Amino acid sequence: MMKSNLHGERKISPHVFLSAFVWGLGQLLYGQIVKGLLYLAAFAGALWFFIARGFRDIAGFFTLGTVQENLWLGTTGDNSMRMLILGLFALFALVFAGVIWYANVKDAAFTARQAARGNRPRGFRESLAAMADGKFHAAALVIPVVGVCLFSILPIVFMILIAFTNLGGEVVHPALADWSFAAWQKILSVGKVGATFVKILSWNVLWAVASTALNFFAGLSLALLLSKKNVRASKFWRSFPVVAYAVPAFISMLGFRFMFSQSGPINQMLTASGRDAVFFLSNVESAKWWARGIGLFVYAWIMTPSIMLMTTGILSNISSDLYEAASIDGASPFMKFRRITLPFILFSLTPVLISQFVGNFNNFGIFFFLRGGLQSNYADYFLASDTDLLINWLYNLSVDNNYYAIGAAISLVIFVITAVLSLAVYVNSKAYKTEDTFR
Amino acid sequence: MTGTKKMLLLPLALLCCSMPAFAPLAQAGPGPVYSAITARFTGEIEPNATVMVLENDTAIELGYVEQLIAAFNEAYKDQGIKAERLNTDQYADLATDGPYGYGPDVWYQANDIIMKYAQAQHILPVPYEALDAKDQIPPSAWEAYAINLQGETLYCGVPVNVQSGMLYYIESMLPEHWQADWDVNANGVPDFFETYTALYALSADIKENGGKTEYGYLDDLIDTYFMGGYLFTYGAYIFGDHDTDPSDIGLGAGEAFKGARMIRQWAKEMDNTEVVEKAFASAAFSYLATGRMLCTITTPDVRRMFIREMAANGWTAEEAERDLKMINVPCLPVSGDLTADGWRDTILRMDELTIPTRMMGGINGYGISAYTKCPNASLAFVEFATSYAQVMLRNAMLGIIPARADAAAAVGETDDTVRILFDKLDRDLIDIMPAIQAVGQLWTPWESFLVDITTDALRENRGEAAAFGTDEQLQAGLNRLVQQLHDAIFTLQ
Repeated sequence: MMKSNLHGERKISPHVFLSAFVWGLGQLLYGQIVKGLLYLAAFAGALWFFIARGFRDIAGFFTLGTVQENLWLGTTGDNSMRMLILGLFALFALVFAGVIWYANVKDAAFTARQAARGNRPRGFRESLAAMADGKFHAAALVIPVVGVCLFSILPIVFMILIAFTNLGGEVVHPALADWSFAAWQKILSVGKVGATFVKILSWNVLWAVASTALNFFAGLSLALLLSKKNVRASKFWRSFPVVAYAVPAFISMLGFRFMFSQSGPINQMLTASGRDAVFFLSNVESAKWWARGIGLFVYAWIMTPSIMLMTTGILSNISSDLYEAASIDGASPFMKFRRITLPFILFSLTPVLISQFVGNFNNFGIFFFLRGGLQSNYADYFLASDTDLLINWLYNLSVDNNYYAIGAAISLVIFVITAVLSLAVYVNSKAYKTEDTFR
Repeated sequence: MTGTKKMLLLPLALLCCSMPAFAPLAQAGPGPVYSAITARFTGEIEPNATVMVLENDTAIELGYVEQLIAAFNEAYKDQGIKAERLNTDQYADLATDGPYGYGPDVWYQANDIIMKYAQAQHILPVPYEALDAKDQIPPSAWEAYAINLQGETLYCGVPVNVQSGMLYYIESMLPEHWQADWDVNANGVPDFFETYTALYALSADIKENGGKTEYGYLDDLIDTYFMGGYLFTYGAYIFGDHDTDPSDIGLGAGEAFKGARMIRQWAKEMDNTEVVEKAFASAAFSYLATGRMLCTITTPDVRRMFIREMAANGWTAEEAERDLKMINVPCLPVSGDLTADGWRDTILRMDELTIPTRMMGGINGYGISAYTKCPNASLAFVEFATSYAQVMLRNAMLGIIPARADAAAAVGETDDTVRILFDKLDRDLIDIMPAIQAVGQLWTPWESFLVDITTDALRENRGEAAAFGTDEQLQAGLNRLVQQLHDAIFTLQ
């Protein structure tokens, strides 16, 4: 009897085959009516979608259109951008349908095994209970995963794919696009675009590192200062940076732009004191480091309070016993800072600093508001200024000049750089390696 | 018809006849391409249509758009259609917004912007044959919206007003005794408004000796639209083949360096950091009204902004209307140097020592989006907005110079600006902005070049080394600008 059962489990039931071809049919034959009907409905829905448009959308994904629309004559045609995203959606739907098919076959096989063992197939309520109990993780994650795929992964993949087309410039609707590596050839060639890319990338890395470090040390210094017991009314003083933090960032940026403008208060004070005005934010070469320095300062003004608030909270968690023990051992204040305070803060703040680094790397607003779209007329900057970060250049190329493909290629590069650097720093940080140290 | 009207219509009529490029508009009937493309304009207004209108910021600010839309809705309420203002940036991106239903149905803009989109079919050619305004609008204005397709000329916008730089000043701010000191040719016109050399001399005099105003002439020296004239006067042009060939960029052509030299000279003389910032354009209204400067150059459609600012500074509306003057820009020196000739000589030997200043100009008008679901209702709106009554109202509220001959004639009875502008158009002294897509790449590099040369002048005033101190350096800068534009247009295509 046992032997026969085992043999029956190995042999694939015809019901499973039926389910493989018509979703839910096997379940229906086993008497699992509700589940079978649900699978059948999903099968009908998938069939309807792919016959009605899914297969056409997938074909369109590869061609990106064959008939050009004539907007003047009113003749209809293809829209490459729309075909790309609808094709991508159809491919996602295909994968999703595959997952449902697999779940359906797996379920039919499970029921077949249960039936071969002589067990009664699960009813719908039992199946739901089993899902909620044994596969709670999968059941709970289905909706979020679908949501993430639709609203997060699909747009990202769409953007990545645009980097491999010739969309942009004169190739915008109603003109039809093609798959192409041209955007990458432009970036990686040694021409003006490539040279500008290297210059901007170098400054971008410097900016991200410098602004993250400056904000961190300024915030930490302020927090340390205001946490000193001999500072009177520290709560009062602490409220000032918080007010600066509460003001919308772009208002602060525009304020500083006015302060440092040719006719702004700083230049007025300079001229009133008999000195020459300084071209702080102009596009001339002499303004390069002024503008960069002002950008670092303004961003520190905006971000230091948040670091100060975070470090203030962390500082209050450091046990005073550690400092007392260090004092008994003869440690100087700097040694205490280097050996106790800084490691403790860094341990807690590393993930925050990484996210700040990524944010700083992609800080669009700071130089957009400070310098207002001028481009540098020296050193062969191509549609860029010497303070532009990659994200600003990407904006110039893709929004101002409609070079979508090259913009998408640059954003891919940004993604790779920030992802690699962030992961490398995090994986090598104590916050990751020695997670239990400060518990 | 009054004598003034006749005088005004004569150059307009001559203009129409002297432009062979526009013979098709005036003489030839519509061809098969025109018929096919305009077939959707059946004349049957789409029931319950709402026409989304994207208008000019100044017209919105001064309340004209509200009145226009209210009047249209009242006039067409029996036909069940209405117009609404599209509340978005006046510089929409029709190429990206239109296909997905976000753009306007009707768009008022400068010809270069409308035509940038028309080239890629985002703006529809209008059925000009059916328009009441067809014969009222001179061919030179239609030309700004012309596009050639299979041998036929189509027009992708309906011109409303002519734009170009005019010199604004407040009469009561003129220097004391100017008739004695600054009218050597005794023609009743201050000499400093006749030649730039004299204006430069007056500005230097005011700076040195003071006067009713703090400065003489001040302007936004990094504005490509107004500074372009300095280059064009000495042989520069934007694109070759009548502004249709982007591979031929002519901003450094001829003796364009002379124009660049004079922009730099102005920066050096003004010695004011505010004029090398974009913000000066909007600050100019109060600069004039508060007596910081005697004169500036800007377009006619912002006249109301000056009036408003003057009213806020002690003038009554009527006084401001009388006191604010808008005249032709002065002539430039043949030498291309504002200090080379004696200013009196440039007045007394004007024909020999000066040349009329060319200016960049534009023809603003209405275009209809190719993505509109209600082309006939949109056309009805365009017809309404370009009617005589509406153009006159637009003139009264904004001070625009109408493109329609009948409105121009009526306005010209009391406003000499119309004659000046049409005279300049007639004499080919206004370079209409190019109507091709590549023009979009023009502004940022050009403005950046202007910032470079003007900032260089200010730095030189402080004793720093000049980077554009010689004609060769200026020409090299222009050549570099041309190369940048070429790269911007072609590198990523």
